[in-house]
Amino acid sequence: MMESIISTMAEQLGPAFVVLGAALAAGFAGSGSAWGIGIANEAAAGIMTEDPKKFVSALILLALPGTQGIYGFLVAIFALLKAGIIGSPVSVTVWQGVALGAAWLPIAIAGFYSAIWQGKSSAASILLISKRPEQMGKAMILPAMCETYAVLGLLVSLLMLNGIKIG
Amino acid sequence: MAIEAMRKVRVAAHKSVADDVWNRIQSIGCCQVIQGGRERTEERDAASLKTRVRRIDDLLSEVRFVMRFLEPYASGKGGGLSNALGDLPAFSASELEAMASAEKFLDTATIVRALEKRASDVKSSLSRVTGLIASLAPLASLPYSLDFYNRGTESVQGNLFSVPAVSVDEFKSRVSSSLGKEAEIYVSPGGPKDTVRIVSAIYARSVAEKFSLAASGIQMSRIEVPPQLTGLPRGEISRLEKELSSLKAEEAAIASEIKNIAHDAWGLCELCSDKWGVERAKLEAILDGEHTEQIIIESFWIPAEKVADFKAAVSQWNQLTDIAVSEPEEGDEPPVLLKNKKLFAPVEPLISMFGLPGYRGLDPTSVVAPFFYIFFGICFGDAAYGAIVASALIFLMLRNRVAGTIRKFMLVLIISNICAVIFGALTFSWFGDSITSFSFLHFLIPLEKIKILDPMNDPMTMLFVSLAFGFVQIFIGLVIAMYDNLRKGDKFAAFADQGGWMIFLCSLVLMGLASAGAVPVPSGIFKTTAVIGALILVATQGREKENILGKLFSGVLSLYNVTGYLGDLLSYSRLLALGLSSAAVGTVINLLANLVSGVPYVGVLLGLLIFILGHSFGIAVNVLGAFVHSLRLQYVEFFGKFYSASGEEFAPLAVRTQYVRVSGE
Repeated sequence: MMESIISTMAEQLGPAFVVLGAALAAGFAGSGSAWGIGIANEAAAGIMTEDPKKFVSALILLALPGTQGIYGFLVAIFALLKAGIIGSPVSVTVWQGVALGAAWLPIAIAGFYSAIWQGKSSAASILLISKRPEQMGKAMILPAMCETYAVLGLLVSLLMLNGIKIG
Repeated sequence: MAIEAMRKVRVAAHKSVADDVWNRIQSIGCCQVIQGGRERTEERDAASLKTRVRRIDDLLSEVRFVMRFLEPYASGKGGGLSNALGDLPAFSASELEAMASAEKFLDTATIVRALEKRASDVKSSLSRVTGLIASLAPLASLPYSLDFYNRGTESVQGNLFSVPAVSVDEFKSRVSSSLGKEAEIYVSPGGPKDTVRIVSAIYARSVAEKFSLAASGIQMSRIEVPPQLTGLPRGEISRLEKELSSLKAEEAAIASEIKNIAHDAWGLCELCSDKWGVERAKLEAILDGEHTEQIIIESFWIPAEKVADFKAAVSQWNQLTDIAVSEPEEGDEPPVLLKNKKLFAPVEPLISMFGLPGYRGLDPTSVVAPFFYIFFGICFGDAAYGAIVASALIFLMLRNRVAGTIRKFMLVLIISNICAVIFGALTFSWFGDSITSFSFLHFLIPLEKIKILDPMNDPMTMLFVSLAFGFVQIFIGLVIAMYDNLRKGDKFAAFADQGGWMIFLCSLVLMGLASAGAVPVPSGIFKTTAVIGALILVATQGREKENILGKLFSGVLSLYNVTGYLGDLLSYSRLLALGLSSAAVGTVINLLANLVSGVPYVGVLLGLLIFILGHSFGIAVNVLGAFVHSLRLQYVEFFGKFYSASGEEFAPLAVRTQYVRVSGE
């Protein structure tokens, strides 16, 4: 009796960890992006009251903190694919599940915080182009400085997922 | 790498030909005014020109007024995308001269001004009438003429009050007990929910004081009736409503009149705005010169290779002009014009976005260009995405006449996207993994033969490739800095600063490779060279400090900069991350499309929809990311090694227009 409970747990606990990790990766990185874009939106709407023609440049700048959400989503899908929760099924042990489930941490944390700060940088850049539209190039580079760390987080998450051997 | 050599040309021209000469200079568009002549000019010598500038300013402000007024009515103004790309309708200078005359414009402006006045009169009448109607609405049921309340008769006067519903009875009883039949009170009917009632009180003038005494203490406010309203409220309201509808008809009529003239008037304004804008720039340029009673003297910067063209262009006024060409002097800072090979030149706007090099500095364009193209290709990383963006841009360039900076930007994107096609093909990424994931695309599987890298399954190799690109670029940065030091004659700095780091960094990398077995040489050799490099740095990096301890300390401390180089190098790992992310976005979209395509009946259609929308989204997001991050690697990691942006952009006096293109005759 006890043994069968333990073996069922062992079978299901692995995938459960992966689901938890995927959920947190997509959830946190996505929330960060939404937050960051929200901050940038306030600035964008503000400058458009003066000059509605700035819509396109403002849109480009406020889209910049959106990538973290995509990175989180990617990590989530890859974890789910790897654990066979979507796509072709594979068997995942508890410890593999824990490892796959932990690979969410870099992108979720770096994504969440970098997106918020990138949103603030984007807002500042939007204010910059409201006064000096010719500085669009520099305005795009500044928020990208924050994104570097989300990119590194994504990289580490993906390398972790890639490194864990299944089956 | 090249920065165009500049010459200084000094032109002296008799005032009688000044207009023609400067027109010519403006139309060849290669001379930048050197400021400073204006201060040496006596007021009276430039007075007539200043009057002309003022006249043009007046005209231009009138043009702006007319355009602002017509903007909502001029439908189809501009050609949308073509205009945004700078493909403007062309006119020759003489056509422009003939079509955009001041008289013609002022006639139009008079008409527009009159229409504007009528429109604003109607608008203010409309708001007055609407206001009156709104204020009369609660009085509609009043059975008395309104002139009781604003004028009264000889013996009778009336007042209107709004009284809280709860106080109405008290008010009535107070007034009737105090004035009896000398006052007539009427309360407008209201529902139980109305908190305020309109109350009319008509009473003999002789008892006015008694009335106010009786009414005092009740919280109510008097309603003023405008003096122009005299009849029964109902009658007044219907009269005002008639007036309102006729005003609205008038408003519509004016709007259609404006619409009728808007198209032509807008076109005329565009021509005038450009013509006078160009004229104004020329006059300002002339005013920047030194004026004497008879002649105008002005100096320009001109690219050395254009000097002959310039001389030929103004030769027809030989008798009345004098030209002297000279080299830039020691203290001069000539403006900077970059000049590069066709393949590299499109990157020039990216350089000037960061800031141009000084006139005597180095132009990094030809080094930045290949790296930018390749980095973009790796980050965008998908053959099909690259092909779509490149062909869309090529189509736009063929369809429209695109010039200047926009043309260069488009070329940068086209070349970069061609790199993306190449890199996508080498990693077998066509819309992500669409070829293997959709069975009807299986016939394309032979394309896998050209795959040499698989970042999805073997990211370490790709990471190594990314870092290798980074190392090469950083090393090139050091080489350029070294060359720059040598060029300036500072051999010591070249070998100590850059040379020391080159030896040290190369040794560290080779040491790593050797101990991993990637280089068939024992790693001990590189250990020795690394120590040599480090010693050079320790010995030289503190050379500005005064005492020996300070020198040593700063020298050792400088080795700490290796973390900076490490950080820069690791930053290039974004090439892998962004490349992976575009491939992964594509793969996820294909996965979703495949999942829904199993749905009966509509599955295929849904799958197609997800495929198209998803990949369009993927393209948009990844183009932005690839562009920004490839550029950042140039600006931060690469430029940090050697580049200083201290130059002024070459901005010649030229025919600059906003709405039309002035073509040569």
